[in-house]
Amino acid sequence: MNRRLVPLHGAWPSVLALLPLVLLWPALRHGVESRMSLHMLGEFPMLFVAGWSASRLCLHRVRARRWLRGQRRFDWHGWTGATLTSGVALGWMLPSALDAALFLPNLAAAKLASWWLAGWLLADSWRRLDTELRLFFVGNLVWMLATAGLLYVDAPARLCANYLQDDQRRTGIGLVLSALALVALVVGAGIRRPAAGNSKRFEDGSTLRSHHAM
Amino acid sequence: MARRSSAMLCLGLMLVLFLGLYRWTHGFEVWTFEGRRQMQLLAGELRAPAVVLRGSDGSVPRLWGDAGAAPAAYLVDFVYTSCPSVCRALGGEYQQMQRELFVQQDEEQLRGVHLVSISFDVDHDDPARLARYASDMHVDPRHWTLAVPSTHDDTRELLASLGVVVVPDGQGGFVHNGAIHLLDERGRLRALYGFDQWQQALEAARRLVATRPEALR
Repeated sequence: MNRRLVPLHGAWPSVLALLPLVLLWPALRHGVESRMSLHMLGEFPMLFVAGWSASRLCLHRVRARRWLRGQRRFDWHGWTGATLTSGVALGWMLPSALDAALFLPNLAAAKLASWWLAGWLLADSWRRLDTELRLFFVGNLVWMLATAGLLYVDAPARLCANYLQDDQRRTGIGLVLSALALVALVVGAGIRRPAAGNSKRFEDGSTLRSHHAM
Repeated sequence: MARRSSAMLCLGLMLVLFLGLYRWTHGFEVWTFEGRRQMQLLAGELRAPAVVLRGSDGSVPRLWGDAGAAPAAYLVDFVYTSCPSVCRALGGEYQQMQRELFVQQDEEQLRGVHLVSISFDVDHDDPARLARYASDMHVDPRHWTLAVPSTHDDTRELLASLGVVVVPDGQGGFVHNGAIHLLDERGRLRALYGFDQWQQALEAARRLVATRPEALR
């Protein structure tokens, strides 16, 4: 059963992997983080995608095989990646966490690292998740995004001290749309690749179900 | 083996998340910055430093943290003089508090409670502008001090010490959290009140003065 990571080609993955480096430019980072919508709907996905791209770029290399084996030892069937990503998404939905990440350098570092790490891990975990767990994981994310989004839309006052209410409402709408987009993405992927039993193999070499360890 | 270690790791992650959230949200009850500010207030963790201010008459007002300052309780708000709406409304509340203080103009009260409006707009609000604002608001300097910090750093330090966050509203003005802050003579934040709670704020300030040890009066 082939569960290897498929190498990525072209310049885009490298660009995506290196994109968070722009945050080292203080003015740009301040610009992004001064808007709630850019902070949550721009910076978070950017960090996640960067981790994901970096993982796909690095882990397919022969020299990284040992690392990948070690990583999978602690990520059986992608459980750890899914758990970490769910936890990171939940934690950074809190208004108080968003505010505090702007004041406390340690928390800001934790934010950058956690989103990146979630992307790095899930890049390998995603293809190894069982269908049921994959659905549970996505459903959980969709529910979380939609609930937080609706709360931000409906809140009668500012929930973050650093953001304006209009921005908060826009972010809420963006979160709800993200939830819908995630549903569309997963349903679309399901239609393109209909399940065909336990040994269904994806085009990229991963499988839907695997009863082997790791 | 991999299954067990992964399961343990996932359980560990969930436990860390649960305990972390429990602690961060004070038992899943406090979800916002403002809520956390209230908790810090209750724990006595918020204290305004005695930064150097410039008064509307050009003098350096002696406020909390200054041994020579007479008041025992300060009702502090943050303003900017070009604010067209909320600050003017708050100015109205302060005018009403000033009237209340004026009515009870015995020595004790005069020394006890003091109103302070601090501008965070250091670039625009120089003493001359503050003086105009003071004149518009009929500020009586015996009860009410209008002042601006000397530097941006002082402003940042003062705002941060009380957990006040000022953000540009995109239309040339500012939006900020917090309204009336009750500080004791050492600058410790004792309570927070909304714009519409000025009477409670004044009452609490008077209570704070009344509970001050006789030796300090």
